[in-house]
Amino acid sequence: MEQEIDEVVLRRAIRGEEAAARAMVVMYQGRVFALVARMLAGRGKATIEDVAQDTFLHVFRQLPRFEVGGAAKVSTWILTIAARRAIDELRRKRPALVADVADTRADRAGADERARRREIVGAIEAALRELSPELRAAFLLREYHGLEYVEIAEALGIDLGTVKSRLSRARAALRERLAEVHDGR
Amino acid sequence: MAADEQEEPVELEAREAAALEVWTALTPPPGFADRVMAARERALGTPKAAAARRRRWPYAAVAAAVMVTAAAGAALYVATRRASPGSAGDVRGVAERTTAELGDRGVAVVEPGAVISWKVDGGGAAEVEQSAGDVFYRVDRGGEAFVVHTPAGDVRVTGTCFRIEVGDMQNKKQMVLSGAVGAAIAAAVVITVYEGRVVAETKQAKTEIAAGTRATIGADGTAVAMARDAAAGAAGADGAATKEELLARTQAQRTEIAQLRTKVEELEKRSGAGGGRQPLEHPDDGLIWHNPSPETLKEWAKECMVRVDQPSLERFNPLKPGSRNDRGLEASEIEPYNAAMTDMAKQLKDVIRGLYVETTGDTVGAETLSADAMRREIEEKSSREELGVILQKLSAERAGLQPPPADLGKTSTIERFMRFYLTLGDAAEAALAKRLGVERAKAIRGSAWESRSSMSGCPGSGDR
Repeated sequence: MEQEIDEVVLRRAIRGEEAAARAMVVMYQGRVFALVARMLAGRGKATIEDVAQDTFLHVFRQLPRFEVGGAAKVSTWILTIAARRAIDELRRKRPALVADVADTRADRAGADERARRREIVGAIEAALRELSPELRAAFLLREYHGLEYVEIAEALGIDLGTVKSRLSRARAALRERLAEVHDGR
Repeated sequence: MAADEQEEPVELEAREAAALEVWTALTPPPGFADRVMAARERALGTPKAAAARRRRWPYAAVAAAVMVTAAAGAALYVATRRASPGSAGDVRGVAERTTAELGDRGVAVVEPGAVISWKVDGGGAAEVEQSAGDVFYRVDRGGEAFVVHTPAGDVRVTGTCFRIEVGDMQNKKQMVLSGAVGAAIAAAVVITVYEGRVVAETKQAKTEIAAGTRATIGADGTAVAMARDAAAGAAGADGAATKEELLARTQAQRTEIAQLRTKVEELEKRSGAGGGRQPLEHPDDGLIWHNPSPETLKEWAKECMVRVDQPSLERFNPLKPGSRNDRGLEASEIEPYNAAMTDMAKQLKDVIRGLYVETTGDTVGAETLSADAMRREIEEKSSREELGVILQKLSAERAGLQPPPADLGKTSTIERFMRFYLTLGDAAEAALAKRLGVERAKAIRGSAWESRSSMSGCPGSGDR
């Protein structure tokens, strides 16, 4: 289970204390980067960092209105903002042709393993490219960040039934592409 | 869509889930947090300034909790709540006139630039620190002490209306009074008493100040009574004010006092023995909030006043079966009541969300902010003059003095919001009536829903 920021620190951040605000960035930057980088797979690192930074600025602007002890977890709230920022970025610009997101684990593997990993990542990216930005966000929020369907539906303004059905189709598409890699089809 | 909702999602198999793990994500580069913090400082100001600005939010939260929103000058929002036994808070350097409830001891009307903080203990003893600016106080009578500490001395009261203006003592900025004696003196703190009496106490002197008197406390701590007739003879802190401006100011203050008195009376009626919800007593058969008489509505129109009651929809929590409730609901009525209020809460949020996006263009915020936060944002985007004009129109329409606009679509966002807001009490009753019948819905609403607001202030009435 992912860690959440201590409520006392959160209240201090809401009051505008710099140290607490920094603690929030440190606590959630990994998750924000992970989501934004996967959302913007194929974009440059600079773009990803810009969107991640913009996410936190938006978080700080909206923070005084965050309901401490409310229904939403801080991480869910921040990831929602990150997802919306990334969606906006996807809509603003055409995708780049070449990805430069490093696969650090692959770098350590042997040549064959590296090739196989690249194929898997390529299959996942290809499956995601077929999704609308919102559904891409929904898939990532579910599979990589563990959000509930209802949280995703509320966060992205998509009907719950639509989230479920479209994600089912996305998974089916992913299954097919991964089968091609695994079975050498 | 129904088919979609019933469709069970296909989950990934273990091998596929493992494949997802292969796609590792980019990690934050070194120094990312530093860059975010630097960008935060550029975007939101220095950490200190940002903290100071945000200190307004805790106050805003307090204001929301006590349901008091001040829109300055022309439109003074005053709403009511049951007093709490103890409280603390502060208002620092607000840009617009702000009304703050000092626990259950009284109300402070804080002018732009003024700084106060307060603490009221469970017994009702109140201590206020006023370090700068101009603040009007209405203190409920009571046995416990009410003390305002100023840089020049303390002001002790037991029940009164008074105003304190604190000058800039450090910079020796002079506040010139043109009182009845026509003298001009330098003063650090000016106290004007409208009702009752107060004692100004400094290291050097102790002076009793009666109603209708204005006194000054000099920077040396000497209290001096200056004018016997505060309403007619005393000038404000802005010594350049004309007599007409002063008279207008005094009139505005008297109007404010009258409104605050009304509010105090309402609070007293609501906070009866036993702490339970008390029915409101009023000449309008106790239905002053949602069914006032035509005569009352005409009186209100003169002050550009509207009143509204509604269920607490923005923070509605469904009642649990068998739980106690103060609306007299039978066990069998809880489910339909919850359903009606849940529908209403959703309607309210949908409308607020639409108006919020229209007002701010912030689609992201609309997805994440609470209805309460979006409502505040919409209100803050409107000017005090605009609010005054809207209240004037609404109160006149309610009194039958003018027809509503032919095309509501052409009205401003804030006007549409306020019109919608005024319908919520009736809409909630109607939603309940569909499920429980008209008579039962009427009985459950009773004299008023739990959230009650009184809004008043004609355009230009409070301008200085």
